[in-house]
Amino acid sequence: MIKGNLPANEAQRLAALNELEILDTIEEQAYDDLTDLASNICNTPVSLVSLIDTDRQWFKSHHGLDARETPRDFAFCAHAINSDDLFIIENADNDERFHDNPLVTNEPFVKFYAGAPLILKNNIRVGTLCVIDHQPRKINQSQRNALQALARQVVTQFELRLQLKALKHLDHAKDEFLSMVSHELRTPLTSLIGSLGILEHQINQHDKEINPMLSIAKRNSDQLLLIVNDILDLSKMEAGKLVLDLTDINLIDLMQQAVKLNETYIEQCLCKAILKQPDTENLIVRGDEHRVLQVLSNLISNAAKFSPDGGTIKLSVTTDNHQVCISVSNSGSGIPLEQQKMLFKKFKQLGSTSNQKLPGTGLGLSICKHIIEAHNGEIGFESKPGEDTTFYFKLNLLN
Amino acid sequence: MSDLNKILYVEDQKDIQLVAQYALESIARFELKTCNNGKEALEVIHEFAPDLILLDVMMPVMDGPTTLKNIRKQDRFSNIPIIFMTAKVLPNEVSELLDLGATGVITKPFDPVSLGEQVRDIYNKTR
Repeated sequence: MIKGNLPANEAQRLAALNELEILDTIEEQAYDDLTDLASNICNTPVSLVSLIDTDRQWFKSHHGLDARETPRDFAFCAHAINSDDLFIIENADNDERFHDNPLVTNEPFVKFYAGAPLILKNNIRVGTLCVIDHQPRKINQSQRNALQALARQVVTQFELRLQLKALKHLDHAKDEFLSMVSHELRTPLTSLIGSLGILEHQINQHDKEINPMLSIAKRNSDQLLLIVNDILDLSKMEAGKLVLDLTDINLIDLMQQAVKLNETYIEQCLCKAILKQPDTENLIVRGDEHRVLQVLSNLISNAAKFSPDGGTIKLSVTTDNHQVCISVSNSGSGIPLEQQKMLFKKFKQLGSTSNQKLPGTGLGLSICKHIIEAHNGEIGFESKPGEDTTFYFKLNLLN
Repeated sequence: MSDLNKILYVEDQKDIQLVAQYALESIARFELKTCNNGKEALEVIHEFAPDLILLDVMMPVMDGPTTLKNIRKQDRFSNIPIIFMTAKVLPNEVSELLDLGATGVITKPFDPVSLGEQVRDIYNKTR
């Protein structure tokens, strides 16, 4: 018996095989389909996707054979990986390299072998797609071509595997980046916002008139934190990392909570909020309470921001079939038509930020859209120049 | 009368230490001892005998999670309330910290005026 020579690039070859992270994994349909096809086309009882490891050959797919591995020294495939061409042994009994090979003289009695090397980039051959018979025979040119074509499909599967691995790695890297950015931005903001909060507290103790410079610094550092939070929130959502903590939510309670949370802001905007009680008392939806509250809060604060002094923000609820529609309206001059298409886009704010009552981050509606769509809901608005503006979102009712 | 009087505060960032010190001593009226990392905290914990520990997460020498583990190993402090203070705010990060055995998590930036109240709220829930 003559063993297959070690390829000149054996170290590189083993490294490439390890990178695939395929050895000792479970069987997969994609590979089994290819060995089935090879076996059918070449009319052989056995077909294998064989990978040549340091001391063994291991089978990712093994059509017609129970074994998952054999010693490398016995492997026909170890010869096959020394060339780019098909390696064919028509009668193993008559070949000095194999006539006394245990795989020939005993189970599985390999008498015929045809192996197409699996060639990765940089001409690295990690194994073969091969067909085996228990009696001497030949395969025709069409069968040879098919075997090579199927081998290329096996390599395509390997490439997909590597791409998936790279994507998972990228996903993990993005998570780490988000976490790092979150931490690195928030750490100096902690000192900044904290020290300004203390100064404000100290001045309030002794002087009812707050230094306007301090007020500016505090307000803008709070704004900076809002922007950081919104950017991180949106990054998470766009990366598909929004995880909803689903519970049954009483919508009316939540709307009341949202109004209360924004009380101070509404007063600062010199308007008032009215919640119109619906006919049905128990309106329950399945959702993430914190996130739905975030949407309500955002719509209410937007309504307050764009409401004229003395204006009214109206919250109402309607039901239709199995959906509930929550609306937040504000009086005003409506949204100009050319600005309406900017709504829900990132970092787009209506009007000039310099004449807004209290500037936002420009991300709120984009975040709301992600949240509502994650709930399989719908969000939209109605606004005509010179009329009230209404933002609404719809969710599926539980009851 | 509350039995929450003494807080051991562990934080490596000097600026944040000063802000929290003012918030917890001058505003909330706790007796505070500050340490720069977990190793220092372990050296002073027996003598100071705190009622509660505020623990930063990312610190040199000994980080928050390791410090918590070492504190809980000691019988005297196996049930002491420990609150992590962290700038890591992704939901899975917060729940990972709670899974380590923390009593609560306060995210940074915090409001210095209400920090004492937040700490008391978490402490009272353990009673």
